[in-house]
Amino acid sequence: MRPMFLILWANLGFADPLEDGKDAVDAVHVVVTADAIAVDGKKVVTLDTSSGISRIKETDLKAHLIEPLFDHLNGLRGETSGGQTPVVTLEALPETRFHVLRAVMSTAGQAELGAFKFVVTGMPVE
Amino acid sequence: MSALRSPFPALRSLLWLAWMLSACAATSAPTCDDAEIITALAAADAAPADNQVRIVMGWLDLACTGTELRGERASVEIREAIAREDVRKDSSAWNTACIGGTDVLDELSDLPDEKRAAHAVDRCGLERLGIDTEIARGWQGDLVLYITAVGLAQGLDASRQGMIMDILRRPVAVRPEPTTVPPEELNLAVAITPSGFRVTASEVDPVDLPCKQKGCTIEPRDIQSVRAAYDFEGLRRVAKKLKDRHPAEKNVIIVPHGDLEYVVVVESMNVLREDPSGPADADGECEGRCLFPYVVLAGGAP
Repeated sequence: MRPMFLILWANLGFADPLEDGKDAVDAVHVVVTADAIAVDGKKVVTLDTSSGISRIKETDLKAHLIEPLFDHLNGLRGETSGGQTPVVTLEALPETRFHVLRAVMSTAGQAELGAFKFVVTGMPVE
Repeated sequence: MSALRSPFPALRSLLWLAWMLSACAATSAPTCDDAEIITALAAADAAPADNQVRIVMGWLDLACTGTELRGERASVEIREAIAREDVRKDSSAWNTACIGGTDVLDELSDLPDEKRAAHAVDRCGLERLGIDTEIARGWQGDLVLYITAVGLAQGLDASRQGMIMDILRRPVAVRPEPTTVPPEELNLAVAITPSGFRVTASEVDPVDLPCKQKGCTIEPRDIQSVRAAYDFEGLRRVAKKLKDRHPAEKNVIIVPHGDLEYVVVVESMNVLREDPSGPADADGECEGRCLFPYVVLAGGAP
């Protein structure tokens, strides 16, 4: 299955403030912390931290698809309106490994959420 | 020479005829043959407009072998035309050819007799190649071959003229219809590994930008440490060069190693996105000069 490509229209930044008040149907906020993945403030996936490095549990992972996350994002599609594809704001700690984010983005893509903004948390704003 | 500007082929031919007859009348024997001139004009009238003067001059050059047109008079005609700017000035190719014509005169005059013929033939072939290239690009050339021919002919004896004329009378390149040639895609890709960056693109050899610190270690975990670990300056420098060559290109494929830290991926995208020191684009898409803001993130190595 590798390499797998995800098309991203990237708006990038370090700890940029999120656009408060933006209509929920236009944006999905995914946060990757040291031990969990949350969507719009709701914890959806628990990460395996036993090795000291955050990983997605094998039980949650099917190829690059994080099944609990996919189910949740898929459910959000019914809440969107206007035919516009919501933009996923992907917020993660600087040390988060790319393989975790790759799985998150791949899963979002499977849920037809293919546009991302990237935010690094825990880094000082320049 | 101003007659060449005439948009009417028949009038142009008549003016050429008058000019050539007056030129030939001023020379000593042998003179141009009227029949040759008439034949040349008839051929020119039947030819596509772009080739008319070329055909006329090719024929007349051949027909007037041995006349004073091949001697000092030709040189004077060329130099005077340039001095008067009584020539088409709307093409750099034209100016180049004028200069080239006089250069040929000078070159040949410096050569010993036994080397003139070979040099002239070589030079004429190059001139012809250049002219065909210009015509293919849309330029409407006319006097160039004539000037080249008389310049070359000055250094040749009559027995060698045929070699030059054979080259000059080859079928001219057909000017293609204007087409929009799509620019070659850049296919820019940047692999990020624990040892640094590797930049690949369609027309350049891969560029490796190794870590500035062994293993690209990031310690302490702040943005300064990230920038000290990877050669982001080098990455932006390469990106700017590639952007210079492909100003319309906006896409980049980033291939991060699976164990790479998120902050490195994002900073790489930031660096490739724009050059803050450059002028902002008119569309306001970037705060500085846009480089490659549209990112495709590839799965990369596990």
